[in-house]
Amino acid sequence: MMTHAIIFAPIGQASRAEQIVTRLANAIMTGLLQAHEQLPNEAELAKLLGVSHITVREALNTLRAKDLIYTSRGRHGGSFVCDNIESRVHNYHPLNLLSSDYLLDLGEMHCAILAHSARLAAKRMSRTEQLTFSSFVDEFQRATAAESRAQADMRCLLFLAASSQSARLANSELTLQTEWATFIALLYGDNALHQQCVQHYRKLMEALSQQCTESAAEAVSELILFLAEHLVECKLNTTVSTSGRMS
Amino acid sequence: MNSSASLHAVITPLEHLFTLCSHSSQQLAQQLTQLLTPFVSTVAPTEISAPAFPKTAIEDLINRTLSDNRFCSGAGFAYHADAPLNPQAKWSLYWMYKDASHDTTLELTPLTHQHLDFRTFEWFLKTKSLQGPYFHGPYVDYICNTSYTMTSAAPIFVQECFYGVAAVDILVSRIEEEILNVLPQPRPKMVLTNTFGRVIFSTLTGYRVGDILQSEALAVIHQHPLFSLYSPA
Repeated sequence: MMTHAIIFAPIGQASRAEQIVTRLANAIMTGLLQAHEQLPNEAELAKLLGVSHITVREALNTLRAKDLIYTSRGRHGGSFVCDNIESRVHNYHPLNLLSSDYLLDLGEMHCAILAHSARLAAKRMSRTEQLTFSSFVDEFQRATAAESRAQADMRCLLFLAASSQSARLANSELTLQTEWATFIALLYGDNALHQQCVQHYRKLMEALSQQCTESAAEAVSELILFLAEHLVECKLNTTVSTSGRMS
Repeated sequence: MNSSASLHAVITPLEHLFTLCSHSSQQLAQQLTQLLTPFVSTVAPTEISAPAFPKTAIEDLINRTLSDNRFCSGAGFAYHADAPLNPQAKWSLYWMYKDASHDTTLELTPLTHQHLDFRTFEWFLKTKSLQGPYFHGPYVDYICNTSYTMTSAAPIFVQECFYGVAAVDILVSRIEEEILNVLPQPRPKMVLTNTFGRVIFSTLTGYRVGDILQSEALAVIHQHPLFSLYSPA
């Protein structure tokens, strides 16, 4: 019976359109998609996301109704990201809709994926790959804007997951990042926090270059749980705030 | 047939596979160079304007590359020319892949990620810096085909100026299929690695695909510029 319960388990709770709305809304809120940036057109979005045109249209309508995007017609027409998001962000602040246990759980899952990725990467990274990873960490350290820090961080973690040589781990990391990256951008305005993350990355790099599997797993776990705990803190402290973006 | 002899049955097909894929990317690079050179003025080389870019002709060349090589799962042209041919440092990707769900017919689908930024990808960077053909992987291609992949790439030069990279993908699972076609039962013990020892295929417990070979317990049976074959010493 258990087998049947698993095989015939519901595919997902949120409809596809809702999933798209959540992902894009979060990206807009956190500044990963910037004001007046043009979204791919309806046909492109349908292809990229692997859904029907109708689903895309439904999602775009919702985003438009929430004043997160606007549409202009004509030759250079299309859907664009609205500016002035900050003024009404607390209504849709991505962290406001989520509970602490949700965020921590996301962190634990992320930890599981990355800890084993780090274990494998410690054994399987070539010298060149270690140098590439090191240069990604340098870039993360140099980044000054919250969004570029979040992007550099995402690149480091994706590279680590791909260095495991496991397609499943890399793909799971990619899926987790669609949610994680938008939240993390909220934290990286804080210079002290960014600096601490750099330290975690240095520790991870050290472990990778010494091919020390358990230290690598530990270092990446510490990084992720550190971020997850700060997400919770950020969530608990911004519930009453009117501004969404931490600066 | 003894174990060593049956392992030799694998060598020729593997040489064929690797050589053919290497050849495919180099040939595609050559064809693209020929196609694009007339578009660039010899007097004062500048970029090709977007409307003039021969998109259909490029896609035809990619299609032909894919249909001529049964091992390839995808092929394409990563355009990112250096200055002065590309003053605004633009980049774009023309990529076609065989649809795995259409097993018998050659169903080609253009890549949906037209905006994909390939500029930091190893197969692109290495090919550019080497200024010559490069065989990358195996690696996890989590952006395009989400599979364990090898990529054979060759640079394109127009007016001695770097113009981009032509590349073909070979899935690691396809290489395994090819080996299993010729490897007799019971399977002899062997490990296939890339040039620096990353395992591509193994019949030996303890050697997993993706590992980097470190054991001295194996002896080289065959060394090729693009792969190495090992068996227990």
